[in-house]
Amino acid sequence: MIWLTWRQFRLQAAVVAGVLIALGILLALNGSHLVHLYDTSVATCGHHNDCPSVTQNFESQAKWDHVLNGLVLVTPALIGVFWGAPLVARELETRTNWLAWTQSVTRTKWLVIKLAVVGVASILAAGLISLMVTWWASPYDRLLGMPYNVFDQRDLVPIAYALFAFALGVAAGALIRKTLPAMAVTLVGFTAVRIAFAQWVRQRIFTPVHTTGVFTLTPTSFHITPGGFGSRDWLISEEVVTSTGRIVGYNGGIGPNGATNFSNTSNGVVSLTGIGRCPNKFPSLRPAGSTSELQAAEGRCINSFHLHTIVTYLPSSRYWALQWSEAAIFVIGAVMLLALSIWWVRKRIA
Amino acid sequence: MTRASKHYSSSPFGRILDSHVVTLILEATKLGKRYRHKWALSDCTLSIPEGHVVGIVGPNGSGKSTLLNLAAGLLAPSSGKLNVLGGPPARDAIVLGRVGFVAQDPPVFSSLSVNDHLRFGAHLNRRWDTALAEHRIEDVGLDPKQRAGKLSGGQRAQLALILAIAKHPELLLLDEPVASLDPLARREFLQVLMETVAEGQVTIVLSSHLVSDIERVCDYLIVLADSRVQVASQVEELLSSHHRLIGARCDPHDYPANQAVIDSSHTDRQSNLIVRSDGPVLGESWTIEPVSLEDLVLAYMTRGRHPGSHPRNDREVGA
Amino acid sequence: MIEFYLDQKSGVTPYLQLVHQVRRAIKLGLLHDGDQLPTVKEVVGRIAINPNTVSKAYRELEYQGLAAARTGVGTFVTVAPNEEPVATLRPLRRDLQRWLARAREAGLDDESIEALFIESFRAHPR
Repeated sequence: MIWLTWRQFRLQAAVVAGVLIALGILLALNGSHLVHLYDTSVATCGHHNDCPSVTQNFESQAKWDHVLNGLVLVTPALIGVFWGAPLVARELETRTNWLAWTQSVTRTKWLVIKLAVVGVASILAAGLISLMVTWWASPYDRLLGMPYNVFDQRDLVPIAYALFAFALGVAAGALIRKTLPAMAVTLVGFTAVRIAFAQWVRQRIFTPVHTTGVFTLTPTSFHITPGGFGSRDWLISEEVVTSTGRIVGYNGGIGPNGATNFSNTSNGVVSLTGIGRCPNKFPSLRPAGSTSELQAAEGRCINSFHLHTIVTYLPSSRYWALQWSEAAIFVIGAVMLLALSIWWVRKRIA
Repeated sequence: MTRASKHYSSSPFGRILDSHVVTLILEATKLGKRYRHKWALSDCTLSIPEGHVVGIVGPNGSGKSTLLNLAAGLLAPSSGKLNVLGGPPARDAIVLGRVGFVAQDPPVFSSLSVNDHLRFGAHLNRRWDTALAEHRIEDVGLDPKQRAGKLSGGQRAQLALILAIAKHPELLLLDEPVASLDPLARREFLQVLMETVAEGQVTIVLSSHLVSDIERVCDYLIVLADSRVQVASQVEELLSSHHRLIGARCDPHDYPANQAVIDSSHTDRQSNLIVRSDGPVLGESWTIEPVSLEDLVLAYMTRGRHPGSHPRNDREVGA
Repeated sequence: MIEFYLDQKSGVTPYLQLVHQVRRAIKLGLLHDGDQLPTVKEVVGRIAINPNTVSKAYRELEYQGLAAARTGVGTFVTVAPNEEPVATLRPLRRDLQRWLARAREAGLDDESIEALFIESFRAHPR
């Protein structure tokens, strides 16, 4: 049975292996060049005071970053659609499963071996792609310093996604029994699960950290003073709240669209949109008052409301815990789908 | 063969019938299979003894494929019981190895070569006769390197048959194996099949809607109509126990008493009956003639289509 | 070696057809004493009939004293040497050909000749 599965799969395996080898060579060459570039220019730019130009040069050299990230992103879906969905559906469609089931192999063995061979191949392919791209991108990732931004295109989770997509494809193929509809359902289903998970579930796996700072207005910017939050962490949400805890804005802006608008009423009273009347007096606007006076008045108004920002974030130290957890969840999902497929083929295709 | 006295005593795998042990290769008891709301096969009770070439004949949709697929373990019964080789079909790898199956329009792996198919058979079967398989491939003129997707219908059927017989099964099931083959391919297929029977102990069960093929190769006949078994017996016994009676036009209550009328047709002058004889025909007014197997099958199939008028079908034929 | 054929429309049961074909071949001198009949497998490989039919035919021939089975070797024709000497056949054949010529001259078509012959044949059983 292993022979048969391999014989049916070997062409696809060869093509993908070829692609991986070619990709590996290209990435090895380009990646080591980037490592060298980083070590010689970016790492020491502080001493030479040329960081802006050096980093700009580095970024332009690492121009494949988007393409490779995209590759890692689509690989699980491709595996699910092209390796998972047709695995069972194609045989059910052409009735070649009957050919195998009337030799001396039981249905269970037939399916388990198919799943094992192609499943392992999927894990290897996804693993290699993730490994190669993660390695290639490591200098660039170090430069950008925001690991959570590329969370689902690095390290472990792409492998788990690939296994899940594969299992979803197999289950779709077993239940739908036709190849093209199964492929479509797998693509749509997998995409939906990934989007939903990234939007709603990922931030709820671990309890995030909340940190609060005073919301004030300085001449140059809003000054957020929370403790412990940095650019390497994952900013989950940022809310501006009043002293009673009422949320009046998001992401550093006040008001319905975060624009922090002040509006004039006719009798010279200014109010901050979404919060209320400014208690202080504003300089008259009709004659051209000075902008600095205006800004000072705006600042006093904002301070009078005693606003705070609450930042909800996941520290960078939790990166690997999150990787393992999300990977585990997808792997468990995959195992459940595979078990469903085996049960379905054994009992229900009759 | 007398039907008067039969003594059964059941053993796990056979019955003692008239002091001969008859091994039953397939035993169905009120077997039924339903798809959604339609019963493809219902109330099927059969006992097929080993060592025969069994033909299942019936119109399309009468349940022939369903019965064979159930026996091969590709379907599960909706009701009743089915025993193949002493237990439920396809219950483990060993039983699967003892049963061969050739599906209707047999599937092949279209991107694999003929040789690959033989290797497939060798890998997936414990008992595999490579020499026999290769010899047969050569005999029927298949090119071992040819991709199976490019084979003609007849060649595909031959390949499927070779895959089924090279594992030396005890039971070989064939679902309309020659239905879509041209006459030459059909003859060649049956030649290989009969040679297999001549070579060793194997029970063959094949379905067809061509009675002429069944007549040639089968010595046991099952007629399925209306998803039910109408008759199941040895061909010799059927031919010797059924007769055609021709006589003056008469009504059903004038039919000979000890004959079971399977089919009847009438003109204004004549009545033409096909009967199963429980004893000698009484009354000299009847001319007795033998019935061809084809007419016998048709009679039972017609009876099957009008189950309400059991067993006396009366048909008027235009004068 | 004899080559069998099956006439499915003849109404004669298959095994008897085979028996008749052997008998006819012996009568016509096409099969001699000691000739081997084809094996069951060879026969069914050519004409795709049930092997039991062939076995039954061969058993019938044995019963009629026209064949004998040698286990492991095959089935062989056994003809008593003084059966139907060829000499008697030749004049009979000649007479028959003359009669056929006369029947054709009289204007009978093939079907009528056949019917006439069969009627006379059946009217005079042995």
